[in-house]
This record gives sequence, C-alpha cells and structure tokens, in this order.
Amino acid sequence: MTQEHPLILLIEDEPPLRRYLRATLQSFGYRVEEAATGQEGKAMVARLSPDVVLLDLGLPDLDGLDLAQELRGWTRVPIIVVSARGKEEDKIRALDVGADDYLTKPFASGELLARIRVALRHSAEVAGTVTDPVVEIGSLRIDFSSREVFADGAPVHLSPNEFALLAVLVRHAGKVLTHRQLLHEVWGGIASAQPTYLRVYMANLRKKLEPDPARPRLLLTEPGVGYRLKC
Amino acid sequence: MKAATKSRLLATTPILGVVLITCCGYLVEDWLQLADYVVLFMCCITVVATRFERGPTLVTAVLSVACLDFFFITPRYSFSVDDVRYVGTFGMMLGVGWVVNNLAQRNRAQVREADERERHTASLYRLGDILGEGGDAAALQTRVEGYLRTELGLPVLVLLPDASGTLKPRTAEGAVLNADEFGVAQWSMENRVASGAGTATLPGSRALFLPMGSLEHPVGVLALFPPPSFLAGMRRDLLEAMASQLSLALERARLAGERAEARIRAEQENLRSILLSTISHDLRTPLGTITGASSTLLDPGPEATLEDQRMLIQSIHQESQRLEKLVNNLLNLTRLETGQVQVKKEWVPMEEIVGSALNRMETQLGDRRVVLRLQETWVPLDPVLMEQVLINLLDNAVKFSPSGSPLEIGSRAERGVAILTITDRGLGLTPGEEERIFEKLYRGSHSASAPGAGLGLAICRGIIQAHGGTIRAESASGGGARVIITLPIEGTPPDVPAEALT
Repeated sequence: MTQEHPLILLIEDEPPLRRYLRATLQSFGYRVEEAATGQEGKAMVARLSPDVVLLDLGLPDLDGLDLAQELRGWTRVPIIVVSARGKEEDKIRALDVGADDYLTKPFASGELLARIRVALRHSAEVAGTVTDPVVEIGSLRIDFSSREVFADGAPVHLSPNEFALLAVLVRHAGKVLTHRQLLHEVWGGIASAQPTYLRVYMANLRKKLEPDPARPRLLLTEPGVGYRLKC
Repeated sequence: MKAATKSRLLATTPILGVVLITCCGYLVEDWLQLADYVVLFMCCITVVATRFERGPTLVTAVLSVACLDFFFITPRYSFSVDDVRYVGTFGMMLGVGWVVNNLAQRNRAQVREADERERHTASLYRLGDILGEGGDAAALQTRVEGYLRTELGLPVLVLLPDASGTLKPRTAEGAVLNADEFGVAQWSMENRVASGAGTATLPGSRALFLPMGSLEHPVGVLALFPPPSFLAGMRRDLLEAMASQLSLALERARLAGERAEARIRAEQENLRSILLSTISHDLRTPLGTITGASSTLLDPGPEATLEDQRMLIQSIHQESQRLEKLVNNLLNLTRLETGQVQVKKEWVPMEEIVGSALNRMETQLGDRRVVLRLQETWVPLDPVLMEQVLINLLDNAVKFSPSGSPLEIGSRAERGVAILTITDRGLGLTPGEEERIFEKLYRGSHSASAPGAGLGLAICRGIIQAHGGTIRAESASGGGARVIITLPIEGTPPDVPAEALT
C-alpha cells in the first residue's frame, strides 16, 4: 500500500461517471484504475491489489452484490458499493455480504471522499498493530481498557449493553452498520433480539452522549438500514 | 321425541272427549233428554272438526254416533234402533262434522298461505336491504350467498360470468357443481331458462339453476340445492323473485363499476397530460441552465473572470440538485401510485425519525432555529417512508417561510394516535387551500416564485394514507402554516429485557 497515493479501483460501466470519479479522485491525490465490467474488475483486484474498490451494483455482466460477496471470499480490500437503485434492501444486502459502505447515486464528491478516508483508515487499523485503547471522536472519549466513557470530559455511566453498542460503533466509526450486524455484535446469541432493542439502546445512548438527543451529531440513523457513528 | 309424545296425546283428546260425554251422560241420565245428548255429541264433533285434521274428526263423529246409539237410544246397549228417524240424526252428526271440518281446513290453509306470503315478503325485503348496501358484484355475491344460505337453509351459489361470458367456477360448503351441472348452469344463463331440479329441463339434477339478467345482458345464475320437498307451493315463486331482485342489483353494480372505471380513466388521462406538461417544463428549465452554463465554461468569452466561472459552476450544481429532487419525487410518486410501495412498519421512537430527517436537511435548514417539542412516542411506522414525509414537509416549510424564521416540530400521543405537527412562520395558507395543497400538481397560491412541481405533499399524503393515518394543513395562529399528521398506534412495542446496571 502506498500511504501517500492509495490506489482506487473503479468497477463501473458508465464512462461519464468513471471520468468524473477519476478526475475527482486524482485531484485529491489518489491513483485510479478503471474496469468496465465485473469480470475485468475481478481480475484487476487480483492483479493490482487496490486499496479501495468502488463497485457499481448495476454491471452489465455480473450482479454487483454477487461480485462483492465473491471478492469478500478472498480479499479484505474495502468495498464501497455505489448504486442508483437506492433501495434499502439492496443496501442492507450489500453490507451484509461484506461491503464496507454504500453510496446512492447521485452523490456529492465530499461524501465519496469521506467514505474512502474511513475505508482506508479501517483497513490500516486491521492491518496495523495494536489499536489505541483510548479513542477520541469529537467530544467523546472512550477508554476500552477501563471501559470508561467521557462526554465533554465528564464521565458518563453506561450499562453493559450500552457500552457494547457504543464500542461496536466506535470500532467501525464512520461506517454504516446494519441492524443485523449490530444485533449480532451486542446481543449475539439471543435469537429474539430485534431492531426495537437497538432503538431503545440508541435512544438511551443519545440521551447520555448527545447535547441534543433529537438532533444527534454523533450517533446517526440510516433509516431502514442501521446506524453510523459520525467521525 | 317430546313433541311426538305431545302430538300423540293430543290426538287422543277427541276420543277422550267422547268417552267423557258418554260417562257423564250416563251418570246424569235422569236429568237429561235424548236431544241433550245429541247436542252434546254434536258440540264435541264441531270442536274437534275445527281444531283437528280430517282423520280425528271422522273418528270422533263415528265414535259419537256409536256411543249415542249404544248407550242412549232404545234399545239400549245395542246398535239397533227402534225409530228409523234416528238414522237421520246420525247422518246429520256425520254431515256437520264433515262440513265444519272442511271449512276449518280451508281457513287454516288460507292462514298458512298468508303467513308464508308474509314471510316471503319479509325475506325479499331483507334481501332488498342487503342488496342496497352497495358494493361491486363480488361483494354482492358473497353477501347474498350468506344471506340466502341462512334464510332458506340450503346451500346457494351465485355464479357470475367472466369478461368472455363464461361462468366462473365457484364452490361453497355443500354446494359443489360437477362439470355437467356447470354446463347446465351456463346453458340456463345463455338461454334465459330455469333448469335443474323441479323444472322441465333436467329435473333429475341436484341443483336448481335460475338465470339472472336478460338474453342480451346475462348477469349470472343463481344455483340452489333444494331438498326434494322444498320446491312445493309458493317457494318457487319466491326464488324467482329473489333471482330477479338480485339480477337487478348485479346489473346496477356492473353499470356503476363501468361508470367509475370510465371516470377514473378520464381523470388519469387528464392528470397524465398535466403531469407531462409540468414535468417537461420542470425538467427542461434546470437542464437548460446546466447545458448553457457548461457550454459557456467549455468555451468561455475572452473577458470571463474566475468569479464568473465559479458562478456558472454554482448554478450547474444548484440546478442538478433541483433535478435530483424532482426525479426522486417522480419516482416516489410513481411507486406509490402503482402500489409498489410496501409499508414495513416497525416500532420507532418519533424522535429518531425527526432526528434523521433534520440531519438530512441540514444544508437546506442553514442557521434556522428548529424548536422541538417531542414527547417520547413509539409509533409503528415505516422509518424510510416517514423520513421522506418529514423531509418533504421541511423542504416545503423552508421554501415558503422567510430565511431565518424558526420552524417548530411537535409530537405527542393521544388516545392511541400519534400526532406530529410541523409549523412554519411563513406566508401561511389561503383559506380553502387546506385540502388542495395535498393534491398532485397543485401549486399553492404562494408558490409562483418557488420552484417545484407540486409533487412533494402528494407523496406525503400517499405515504401517510398507506400508514392508515391522516394529514391536513391549517393556518397557524400567529401566522404561518401548520401540517398535522396523525398515525394510528396499534398494539404495544415489544418488551426489551432489562439488564443489570453496573
């Protein structure tokens, strides 16, 4: 991995969109490779080992979701799914088969660059050494070793489930996590756990951590999909 | 069993009467004349003749004559008579019994007939009520079948033809037609002739088929499964009357359906043409700006400044966003109207929906103050669709109120209904607009200056209605407009197991 100039692979069949993405990404210092079909993209992932894959779901030869699942079978490369459909089921499926994030067309370049930065940071953390036991995000400070949480410097008392939920979100800060993923991480073995649990605990977390729980700045809702911790 | 015993006892009363008169007469023999006995027996015969059927009357009359002759007419204790005139008396007694009994029988038959006629009239009247409840042919079909089944106590099928005029298969409990019978039903409808049980055509069939409608416009067949004795008397007339009443109602339903369809078609046509002209305008305007601005950027004039270029790029960006919003609204509305939107209700705190909508609207809201009065309310709703509603309403509120003016969002629950209000401090509504602003393509009296195709609020209404809720608008006290949404809260949110706090 080239730290200064990460390689982004675009798997996208629309030339105008590829052109726009290439221009934008290159102007922010990324190297860009393009594939117009799924097969070509797959080969290029194997050959070039890019740092991030931008995968369009509507490819001419393969279903993007299938491709994402297949790639996840043999590579840890962050996959950001780009879709014009904007259906929640598609987003959930993409995330559940192992995509790291999704964007719905049309999207602003700022949004895209933020997602790429998050993806790069996560893959660096996964590959890198021991992560810092203390994480600071905005006004929030979480100490994983002592299981302590501070908002604006003041200690906040969290129940074990609240802490577990916050911990998952913090570990994947910036990434959207589906209801299923969060339920699995926090309630693991309890089969009856359902999105209502998440909503109750998320409301509690917001009350404890957000200055205005009705206008959250940190713990964001992705309607119909899941939650995301803004970073 | 009890009733049978009772009727058997009842049948013996005439005999007991005769025996009683004989015994009593025997005891008070000294005080009575022979004429008195004749009168007593005659009374007995008359009473029995009026109350009982022919058999008991005959038995009573013969027994009375026998007793009179045997016990009271000389020579006594023998059936022979001294005076031949007594034979005339006997004949008279038998004759009176016969005549009275005949009169009584006829009277009873008339009463029975009147009763039955009254019952039939009542039946037809109730059928009229049931048919009057309206609805389409399918609704009439089920309702009438249910009614006739209980009213007549036998399985009934209302068979309706499909578009090509072939009867659609249908079964009910105890009413299953085989292929032959189905053919007979079809024949009945096509030839406008009753067939099956109790008719001249295929009287051996289990079912009776009564055609409905005219030869030109057959509307169906009434199929009944009468037990063998059922069709006696006026029942057949009743069934015919019911069939013709039903056929009128079906005909009415068919015509009403055709009228409604024609009206909907005309409305759709009209709406489609308005939609097309509005949309082509709304699509072309931003596209015009984008095309123009970008071509200028590609081929700038000699004195173009960086500032000019920036302005052009900004207008391209703005107009693209406007296009995006329009396309999204169009897609959403089309999905709603074609029934592709399925409401997936989940228990969600209202606060969460409001929060995510505000988050998505952050850029448009700018530095506006948003006053939130949210009570903790859990509501079963589709979070994605409800967020769309809130975004559209906030977008509208921002568009129609001066920049910097505050917005207010309130939510509370009252008697099983969640109430959500969004209030702006803008121009408010013109009286009479409260309903119309939710109509597709309606643009409010203040919208001339604001962009939009009049789709956003129609989408809101579509989504809220799909939730079983209501949406309306009013002018807020103190100026501005308020949109009020109600959503039903049915059931209770699932319990979340408590955990020990550490």
